[in-house]
Amino acid sequence: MSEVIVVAEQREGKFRDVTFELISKAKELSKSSGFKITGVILGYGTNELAQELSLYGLDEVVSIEHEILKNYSCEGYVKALSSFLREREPVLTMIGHTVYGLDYAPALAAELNFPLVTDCINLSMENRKLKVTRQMYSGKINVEFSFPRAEKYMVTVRPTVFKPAEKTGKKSRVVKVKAEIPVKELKTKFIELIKPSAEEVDISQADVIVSVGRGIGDKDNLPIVESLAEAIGAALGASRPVVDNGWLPKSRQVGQSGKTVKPKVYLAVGISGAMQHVMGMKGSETVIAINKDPNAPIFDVSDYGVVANLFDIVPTLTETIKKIRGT
Amino acid sequence: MDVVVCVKSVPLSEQEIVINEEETGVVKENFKYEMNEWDSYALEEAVQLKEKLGGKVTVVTAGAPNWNLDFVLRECYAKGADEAVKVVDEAFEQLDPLTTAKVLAEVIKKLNYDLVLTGVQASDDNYTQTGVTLAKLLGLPHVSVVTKVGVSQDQKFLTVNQELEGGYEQIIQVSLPALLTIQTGINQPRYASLMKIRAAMKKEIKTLKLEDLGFTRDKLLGMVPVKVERVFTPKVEKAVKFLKGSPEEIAQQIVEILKDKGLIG
Ligand SMILES: Cc1cc2nc3c(=O)[nH]c(=O)nc-3n(C[C@H](O)[C@H](O)[C@H](O)COP(=O)(O)OP(=O)(O)OC[C@H]3O[C@@H](n4cnc5c(N)ncnc54)[C@H](O)[C@@H]3O)c2cc1C
Ligand SMILES: Nc1ncnc2c1ncn2[C@@H]1O[C@H](COP(=O)(O)O)[C@@H](O)[C@H]1O
Repeated sequence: MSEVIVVAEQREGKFRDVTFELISKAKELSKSSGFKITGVILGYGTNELAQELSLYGLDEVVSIEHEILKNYSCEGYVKALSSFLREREPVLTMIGHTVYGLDYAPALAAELNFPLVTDCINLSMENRKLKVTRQMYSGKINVEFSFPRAEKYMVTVRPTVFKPAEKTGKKSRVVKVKAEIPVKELKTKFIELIKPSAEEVDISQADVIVSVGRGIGDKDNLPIVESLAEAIGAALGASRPVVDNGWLPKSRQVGQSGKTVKPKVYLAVGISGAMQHVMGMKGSETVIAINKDPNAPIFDVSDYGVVANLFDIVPTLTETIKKIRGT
Repeated sequence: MDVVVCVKSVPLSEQEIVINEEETGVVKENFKYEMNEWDSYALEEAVQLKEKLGGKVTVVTAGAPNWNLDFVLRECYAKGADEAVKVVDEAFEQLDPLTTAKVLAEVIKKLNYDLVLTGVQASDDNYTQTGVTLAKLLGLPHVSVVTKVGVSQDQKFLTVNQELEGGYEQIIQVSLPALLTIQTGINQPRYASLMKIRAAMKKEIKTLKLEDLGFTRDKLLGMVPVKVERVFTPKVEKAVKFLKGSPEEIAQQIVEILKDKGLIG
């Protein structure tokens, strides 16, 4: 029977959400095609995690253990997974498009000579022929790809797109495999995991966030959005380029590599809506976006949109609110 | 330390993206191109390493004839690159990251290097794949999404920070030669002075054809494992309501939304 392999992702003994999203999509694909679904977990001392994974209605859970896999190791993952996948020859291997995923999947695919498509937002399979959809131009277009010559495929899948699978109550068998990793030959070495430091400001607790993007143009223009945030009583957030430029501290950054926020209102000012930003704010109750580009992807995740120059709108909005508040 | 930097020429980010009638791609006629944002950080990191440790910075780009490759490479010269190589062919419009990496690998194999840098991603195709694939093809260890680079005293290995999600990072040691994919914010890319821009205009750009690297256009296109079936506009997750009117009228509508949510009195 053909097999779909889902590589689980864990950090510090906890599964990351994308693991369960991959499982649910794999189940959907197998419903029409009758594939066996195997979950693979890499680590060291991961017995409990493997048992947990076995509750999600998979056909099999394989736990690949090695001391070097205690912390994420790209070389370790590629060595361990390539020998495992060579043996299993799955029709499809699914990996999360996380930093780990984008770090090892391309090397693994090249090693195995599997075609890889990264950051997929949809997958469909008919007669063992896979089609995938991914975005380009930072979310402005979708592109559907087929694989004319391939019979085995590898994909990385964008997190937060698919609904996570739930526990089924049925327990699948767990198989332990000891990975053969030539530790002496490795050219990289894990030194340390650094956790986010506790910061003075925590925007993730705010009811309203005014978030500023590269559209602000210059550090000298920041007071325009700062005044708006102050008038509303909102926390000030930012997209990555504003932080990269040193205009605001990292603690303000919303997105994949910054904070995940879920305020009642998220007001995005001059932010295009790249997926790494959207991932951190799409749980907001109401999103209002101001952007001069009517095709900016941020409008795809907004409740209200204003297509205009932010410099025309934001100061007027600040004044209007100040008047109401009598300040 | 000799560093090779891969830079991609990409359409300006504010470029309007229009899907062609056949729904097989986007209309590229009026595109203007610039250096990929991530690659400008990779270039800066390379130039800073050279300034600290000596050595040479070589930039490599591959692209179609209309991608303004010379413009991008001259900017690299003006910002401190010592040598620039371009591979030019129409085929690059249609390549996937694996096939592009195969071409880049052939160029880089012939160069002297201790370190290869790429960006984390190209802002047009967003594959985040070419750098790691290239490392594999060159037989180099790699670290991706790097936000800090330290060099050991004997210059035999690097200690780098790899950015993970949600403010996590991990520190990794990697022996040289190696490849890193560079994340934005790692440094502050410099501006080029007018003098350096002028000097850059006179520098030589080495031009390679596919044949110089043992490829042909047909062979390369035949290596691409994927086929574009359809290009289409993304489905919206929420039905957005556009607010219209004068700035005052729009401000008033936003105020009403905030009031509805009980956020202003
Ligand atoms: C691994 C990885 C992690 C990342 N993590 C994050 C993250 O955590 N958070 C994050 O934000 N990004 C992150 N990014 C970067 C992300 O891909 C985008 O580059 C970034 O979000 C773009 O920020 P922006 O929208 O402010 O800038 P741009 O994409 O440059 O958009 C600027 C917008 O402003 C509009 N604009 C310009 N002028 C005006 C004006 N006068 N009035 C109105 N609108 C105007 C433009 O139309 C445009 O839409 C990450 C990338 C990678 C590869
Ligand atoms: N055609 C190209 N020429 C030179 N470098 C490239 C090219 N395509 C991709 N790269 C490099 O690979 C990185 C990642 O690109 P991508 O995998 O397309 O997102 C870029 O930041 C560049 O450093």
